[in-house]
Amino acid sequence: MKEDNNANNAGVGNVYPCIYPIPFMPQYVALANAYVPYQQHAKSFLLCEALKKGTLFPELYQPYEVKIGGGRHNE
Amino acid sequence: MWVYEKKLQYPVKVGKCDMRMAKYLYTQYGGPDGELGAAIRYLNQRYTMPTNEAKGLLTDIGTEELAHVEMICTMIYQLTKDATPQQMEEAGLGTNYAIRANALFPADPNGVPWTASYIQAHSDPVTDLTENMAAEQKARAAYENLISMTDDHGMRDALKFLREREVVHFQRFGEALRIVQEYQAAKKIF
Repeated sequence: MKEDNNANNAGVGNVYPCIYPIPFMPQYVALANAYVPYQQHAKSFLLCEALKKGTLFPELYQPYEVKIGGGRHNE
Repeated sequence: MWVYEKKLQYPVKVGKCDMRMAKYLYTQYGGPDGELGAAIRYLNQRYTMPTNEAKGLLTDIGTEELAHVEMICTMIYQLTKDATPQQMEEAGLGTNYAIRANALFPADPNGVPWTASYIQAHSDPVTDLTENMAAEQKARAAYENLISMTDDHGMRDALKFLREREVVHFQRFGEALRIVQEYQAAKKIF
């Protein structure tokens, strides 16, 4: 899970000590804070497919299914 | 500074038959949760971000939002460029025609001009990033509304692309928030 963060470390490790790697979810959570999971995996679509889908990452591809009745001719 | 590429981020080919959508698309041009507001919001907030990652992210996403403004404007223009006054009127754009013929204008579908009061900046990075995450969700919901209002394949295709970008941006702002949280926690210790 953690090897992908080495790339991050290379660029900014010297700037803010000890904040990298950022874990998928925080080890200690506090009330009244919002947490989004930190993306870890880097599986990717083929580039042409990624452009069509709007993201390079399969885990972030969350297409919208039009509700029944949506679309002006289906009303 | 910026480098301009003379092409759209994603190709747009909108059929002429669904001209009513020109009016509705204005919500993502000059509306409260539109792309113009997003671009100005992020490009303005980036200066007071405490980490380089957050600064860089706001620059990157703010820049991409400008590319989305261009896509939305292209869609509106493709629909309205050859429209007669009568066709504009039938599409609900009679007032637009009266003021500025077939020209575009950064306004919402009701013609209310874009205003900076749609955005906010606080210098508190948690506050700003949380606003941005909310902004991405509002834009995502607006795109779902728009997708549900048209059957035009080309329009749906472009709107689905733009909607997915909102999902990705929400994730990235969330990750920037995580970095800022870690940064603030580390600052208290060292």
